[in-house]
This record gives sequence, structure tokens and C-alpha cells, in this order.
Amino acid sequence: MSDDVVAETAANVLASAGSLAAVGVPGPIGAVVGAALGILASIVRSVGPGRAVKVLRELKVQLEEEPGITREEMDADMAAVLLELGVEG
Amino acid sequence: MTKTLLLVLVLALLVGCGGWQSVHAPIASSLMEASSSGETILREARVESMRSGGQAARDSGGDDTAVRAAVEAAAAGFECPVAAFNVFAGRVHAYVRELVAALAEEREPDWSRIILDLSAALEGYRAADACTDLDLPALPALPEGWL
Repeated sequence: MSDDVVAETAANVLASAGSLAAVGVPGPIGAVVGAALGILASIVRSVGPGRAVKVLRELKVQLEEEPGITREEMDADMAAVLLELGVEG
Repeated sequence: MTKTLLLVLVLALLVGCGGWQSVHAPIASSLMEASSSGETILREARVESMRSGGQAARDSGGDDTAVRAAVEAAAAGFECPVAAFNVFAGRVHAYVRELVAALAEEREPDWSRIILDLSAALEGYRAADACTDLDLPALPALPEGWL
């Protein structure tokens, strides 16, 4: 996808609040996505569409993170509950 | 949450592109949201179950060992849904990752991989749903004949 297409697409998305419903974004997240789109629009305007492509590449890297509920998170939740209940150690 | 937000943002960008992007953006977006909210539902329910189990043990005069055992028993009840849901989340992640990679690299997605990821994601979701009474988030309807 060319930089121009990215810029044009971002502009189209930003121009229409209805786009959020079109991508199936639910209420609470839809509201904050609007703000995030505004930030992206600023990026596109200030540093050009090339930056938008860079953002996509950075997000691709973020997608390498482990999804789901990790063992560490579950252990931390249990430790917090035990602490709440006054269990030592 | 931030990561999900950013991903939804990327997926929103796909909508105006036409072609495969327009078809997959709403599905990927819904799956990501289901994955994120499902994780929250399961994690909070697990914490609440551990808390109430441990508190019940404490209220009935149990010592620390008894309370810990009650908390661990409550947690054990979530091993199945969490493990299965993690399969779902992992495969949804892989699906979205391939879409974003294809977009960033200006190529077609690897469709055979996408079909495998979506099939495994649905299987994981159904397995999680089968071993919990919790209401997991609804999944988007996939186009007929995809899987």
C-alpha cells in the first residue's frame, strides 16, 4: 500500500464517525478510538504519510507480544488475593 | 488495553482500502475486542472466585494453610477456560499479525495460514466456552464457506 493510500484512508476514516461502527468498534472503545484517530491524523499532517506507514510497522512489532492471560499474571493475581486475605508468604 | 486500542486503530485504517482489507478489518477488529474483553472477564472472575473461596475458608475459622488451599482450589477451576481462551487469543493475535504484516509489506496475506489461525481460534473459543459458565464475548459471524 502506498503512502498516499495510507494518508487518503486515514483521512476517510477520520472524516466519518460512522466508520467506527463499520469496523465493529463497540461503544467505550469506539469513543477512545476517535481520539486515537485524531492523533494519527496529526501525525499524518505533521510528518507526512510515511510516518503513518512507520506506525504500522511499529504496531507489527507490538503484535509479537504474548497474547492471552499469562502464568505470571495469574500468579500475581493469586498473590494479591492471598495478601488481601492476610496469608503470609 | 492500549495495545488493543492501537490495533483497532490500525484495523480502522484498513476499511477504506477496499479488497481483502475491507473484508477482514471488521472481523479482525471484532475478534480482537472479543479477545481483550474475554481476557478481562476471565481474569476478573478468577480473582473474584479466589477471593470469595479464600474468605469463606477464613470465615469458617480456617488458618492460612486452609485459606491458601481454598484460593488454589478456586484458581484450579479456571485452568481449563484460561488455557483454551489463550489458544483463542493466540490465534486471533496471529491472524491480526498476518494482516498487519501484509499491509506493512504491501503484499497479500498468506490465506492458508489465516484459515488455519481462524479455525484454531474458533476451536479454542468453543473449548473455553464449554468449560465455563461465564458469558464470554460473542464472536463475529464469519462469511459462509470460510472455514
